[in-house]
Amino acid sequence: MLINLTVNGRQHTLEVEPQERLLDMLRQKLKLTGAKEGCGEGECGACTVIMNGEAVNSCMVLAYQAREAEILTIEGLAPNGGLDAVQHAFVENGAVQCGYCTPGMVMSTKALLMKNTNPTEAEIKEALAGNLCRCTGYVNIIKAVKAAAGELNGG
Amino acid sequence: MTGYRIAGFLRLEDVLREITQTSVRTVFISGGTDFINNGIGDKAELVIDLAQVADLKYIKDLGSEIRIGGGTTFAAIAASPIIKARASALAQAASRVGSVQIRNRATIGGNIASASPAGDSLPVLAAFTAGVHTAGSQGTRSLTLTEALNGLQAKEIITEVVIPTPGESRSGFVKIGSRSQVTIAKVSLAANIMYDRSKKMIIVGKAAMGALGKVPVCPLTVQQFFSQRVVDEHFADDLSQLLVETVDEMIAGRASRPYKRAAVKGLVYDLAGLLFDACENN
Amino acid sequence: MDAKPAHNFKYVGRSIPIEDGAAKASGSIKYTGDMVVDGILYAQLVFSQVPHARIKNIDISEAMAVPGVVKIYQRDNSTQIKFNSQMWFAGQNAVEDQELFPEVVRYIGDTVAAVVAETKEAALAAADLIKAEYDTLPVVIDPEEALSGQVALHDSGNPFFTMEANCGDVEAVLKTNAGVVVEDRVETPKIHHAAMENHVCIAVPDHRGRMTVYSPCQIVYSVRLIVAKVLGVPYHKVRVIKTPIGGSFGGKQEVTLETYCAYFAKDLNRPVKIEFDRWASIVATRTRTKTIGYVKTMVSPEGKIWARDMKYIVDTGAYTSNGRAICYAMAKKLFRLYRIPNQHYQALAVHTNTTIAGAARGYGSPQVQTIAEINLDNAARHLNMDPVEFRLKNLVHPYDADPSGGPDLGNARIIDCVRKGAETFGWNAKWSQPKRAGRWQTGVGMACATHGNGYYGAYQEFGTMTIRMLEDGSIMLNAGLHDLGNGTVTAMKQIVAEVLDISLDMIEAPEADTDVSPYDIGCQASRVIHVCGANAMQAAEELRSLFIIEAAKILTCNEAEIALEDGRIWRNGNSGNTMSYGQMAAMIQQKNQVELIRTVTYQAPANPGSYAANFVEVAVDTYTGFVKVVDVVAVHDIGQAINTGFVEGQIHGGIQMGLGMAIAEDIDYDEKSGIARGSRFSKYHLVNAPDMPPVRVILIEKGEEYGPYGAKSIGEIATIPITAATVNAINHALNANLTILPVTPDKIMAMLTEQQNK
Ligand SMILES: Cc1cc2nc3c(=O)[nH]c(=O)nc-3n(C[C@H](O)[C@H](O)[C@H](O)COP(=O)(O)OP(=O)(O)OC[C@H]3O[C@@H](n4cnc5c(N)ncnc54)[C@H](O)[C@@H]3O)c2cc1C
Ligand code: FES
Ligand code: FES
Repeated sequence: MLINLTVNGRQHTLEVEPQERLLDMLRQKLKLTGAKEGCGEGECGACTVIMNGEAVNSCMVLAYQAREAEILTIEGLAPNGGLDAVQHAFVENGAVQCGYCTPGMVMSTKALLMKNTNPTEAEIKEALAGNLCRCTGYVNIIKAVKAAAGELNGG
Repeated sequence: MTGYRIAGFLRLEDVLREITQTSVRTVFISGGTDFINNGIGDKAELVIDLAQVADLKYIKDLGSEIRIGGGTTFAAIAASPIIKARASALAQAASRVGSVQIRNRATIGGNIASASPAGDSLPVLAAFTAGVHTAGSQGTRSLTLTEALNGLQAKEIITEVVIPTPGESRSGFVKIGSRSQVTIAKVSLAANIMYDRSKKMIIVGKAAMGALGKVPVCPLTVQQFFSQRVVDEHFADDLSQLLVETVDEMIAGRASRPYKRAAVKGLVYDLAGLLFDACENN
Repeated sequence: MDAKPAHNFKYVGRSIPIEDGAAKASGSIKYTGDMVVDGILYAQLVFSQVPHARIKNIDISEAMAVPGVVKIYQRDNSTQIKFNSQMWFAGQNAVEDQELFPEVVRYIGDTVAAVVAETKEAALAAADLIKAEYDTLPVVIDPEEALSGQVALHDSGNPFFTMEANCGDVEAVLKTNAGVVVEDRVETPKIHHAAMENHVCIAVPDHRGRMTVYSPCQIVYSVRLIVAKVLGVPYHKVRVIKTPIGGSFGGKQEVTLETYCAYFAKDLNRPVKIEFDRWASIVATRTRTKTIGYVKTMVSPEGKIWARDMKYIVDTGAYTSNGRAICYAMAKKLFRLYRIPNQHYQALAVHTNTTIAGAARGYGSPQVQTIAEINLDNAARHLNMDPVEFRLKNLVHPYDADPSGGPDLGNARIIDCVRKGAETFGWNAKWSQPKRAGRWQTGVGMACATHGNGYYGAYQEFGTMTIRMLEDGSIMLNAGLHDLGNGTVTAMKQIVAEVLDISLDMIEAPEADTDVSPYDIGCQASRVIHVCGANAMQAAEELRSLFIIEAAKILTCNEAEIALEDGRIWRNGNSGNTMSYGQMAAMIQQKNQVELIRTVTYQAPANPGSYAANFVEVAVDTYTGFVKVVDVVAVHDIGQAINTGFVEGQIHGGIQMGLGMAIAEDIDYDEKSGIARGSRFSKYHLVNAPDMPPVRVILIEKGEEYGPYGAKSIGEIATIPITAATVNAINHALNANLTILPVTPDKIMAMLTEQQNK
């Protein structure tokens, strides 16, 4: 089955299987391996991408359901492997350890900041509640989100 | 990979045409948050994606009732000014479903169709005596929540949830899980009441408990209790007592009973906090 | 780089961001699951669905018919060589009771068969079609039930191993009947490491008959050892490359998928990949060792600990793995935190029909110290004494000896930790705050911990590193490093940069690859900063000396006259005429015909203790049993932070993990069916962001003689004190003695209901 969609600003027409998940399509067909599978059941958020402006678990969406959608993945935030403000804040604030949760965390942060440029700590925690991290205890991740928000608000 | 075919439409009428024409085993997917985990497609030949059906996504205030399209996501419900103002319990329940990512996909229709005892919207809908409208190859139906939970027909779509709002009411939803967020309810409670603020008196009201059985439990004793009940310092303890009895009755002998009955008090105090203290300060 | 000026240091002590942070944040780093290998096959293991049974028959006919299936492995067509997955050095005395496909399956998750197919989907589909018939055997899940030996999983019986450790004479002291004796039984759960990356491995055979194994592992040399054994080939036929790892916490320390992957790849002469899902990572890899402790502590009325008698039941699950080694490791910690003149330790290790236990951050230390610290709080309570004051009377002092005969404790600064922590936390005020009636009850708790710094005193403790200055002045540190996401590589660069006075971007320190890295014992035993760091420091110092010797020849001066700074070199008094390291290195090659290279084998001469104290405030909802952790102060004696940000990061993460053990996490096996209830993240809840408390970290940096720049370990001890501190705080809040971990809401409510009914 052919679907059209836009991923990181590029239009694609792709053949997808009915059972294929958005996560599989991104990782296998488009070789966008930034989104990770940590649980496959919507619990860990490692597979988080932004679909039509909203954070979603790409393991909980069938590829077919993304027809005509606009998808933004970690690879699409900054050109050529560079870093956008959120990614940069994660690196600088010690929010990245093993890095496996990082793409999902960054995408959840991005989705939050797209709607709310000045989130409270409680709002940050709620936005990240569906993203698990075993390395950082979230402490520096929350710090990084605040730093990124500060940066986006002009420092 | 073997298994189903998948099809999707943008309009409900096209979905209905498809299900009337097809004779193969057909199921639906909306947000997919239960579909994928529960292997709903395993035995299907055709899966129809409802997630892009625009006319299943709406929240309408008709005065004496609110109508919510079956494909409306919990994120949309939680953010809706209509729901927040007129059925705040549903906004609260919606905002506590899963995580942001889940709420962005999960739909109220899917919550009802999945009929998990822990479904967060269910006790709220029960407390409001909400109705469920469906459409299928046999035409449309108008069901009670209990009827909807006890089994939809094959290829029957939840098109709409109807929440009666005859007058101004106060409502609240609380749940207890193992974390404060992203947690399935071990037990939950919703109530919808007409309240006379000057007399501090509930005129009439209904409460429903979730996660005790297939359908939310709406104890008659609580409805009687709510009738003309002044909210005094005994209110929460008296209500707890009634709900503990409900738990004992509903899940006697179940391993989860001791905890659920013990935790009822916490639910009731939280609910009372939502219904009274918070409103009083406005 | 942060603004904090580290005293005397240019690179050490600073919070420099992790070197691969940008690659991780941009999603461009390739973990093993992201790697693409031409012509790769996918293997899917078929797991036992019963907890204990002899396999009668396996029907693979339907599975073989699935298009794309290449081969199905089971006992009959595979090697039956026995191994122990935690062996990390040749000649180690370890019970070898594991096989790729055992005749008798011993837990749900044991391996019945495996499908190798052209696609992952085909392998999965075929695996689902394999039908095993079993003759079921009696099952034992409860470790205390296992003690009776009625159900034995192996010939070694049950318990399969016991050991003791002693100092003084406990029995004699207990007989005096003086003082107060406080007894507890404390139970810690089986816990999933929960690295966000599931277990994964790729094995690639080549035309020379060699096997390259790509594994996100902690010990390449352990993987080589066990893979070579299973393949039946000499070590030089196996190459193991440590790939970027998405977390481990001990979970990827043992050799699990690598054996299967390499075996299939060799047999089929094609690359093979195995990738576990979360269920398999939880149920079919390794867990933290469930431990039940009986502790009897005798204290004087003034609060001096006279004697302690401890019995630990150590549940290693279905196979022995580290079931023996961990008993020794547990014993060691218990003699190194308090001055207890008389102590007796006994460990009884049992097999149960549950997932194999293995290394897990702290290697038994979190379990035994949690158990002991809960008991100590009860002792303080019996004495009516403030637990801080009680501990201060008994804690070890710097340079104390280990009464059980282990290495000296070194600059053990636990008393500083407790004093500083109590002050910052506001302990005195909080502890003595009178209880108020009401729904939410607050409480405070604290606990101390110690952990080691390597293997010295127990096993051989050494490693080798080669360091080179290249012709342009850049540096290669060639070592068997395994960065687990904690920043090992960056920290090693900081040490080298400090010695050589050169910027970090001029240093490369690739991770372990058995073909090129010199031997190293691996990332375990909290040895990396203290031992490998010292190794790197010594190597860099030797390179510096060599550089100076050779430069002096070029500059025709005395070695003492050579000055080095910021990547430039000159002759003292001639600072107008400096050269870059590169210019000099090139000249040394041309003129002296010398390569600037040093290989250093470092043998650790000591094993000091790292120390920590955590202070916790909780609010307990007495209506629902929900525990909200409100405040945490974590004080750590780490000698010297090499990278302050990394140290804090370890502590934050350690607290998240240890909190889980205190209040939430438990794989929890059904006693009859042997099914793990917590086998998925929807059923096994980690602490997520909303429930994570704020953490205030305080570092005590008073140096340690043999640590590089004084550094001691942090990664494992970071997770130890929080568990007992939290449980102690809950018990303080509720005036209770909850000792079965995790202390979940239902246990709290059951206790409160019982209290009420009394
Ligand atoms: C991580 C996670 C956390 C969760 N947390 C919660 C929680 O806190 N509270 C809670 O209540 N639930 C929770 N859920 C469950 C789930 O998100 C909800 O039940 C959700 O409402 C399901 O809606 P959906 O649109 O995703 O349904 P789908 O998964 O698309 O479908 C579920 C079922 O409903 C049927 N269906 C869907 N839409 C319709 C329709 N319009 N008409 C007829 N049949 C339909 C499908 O055929 C399928 O059988 C969680 C799920 C996950 C993965
Ligand atoms: S992999 Fe999608 S949420 Fe875990
Ligand atoms: S950085 Fe390792 S899981 Fe978050």
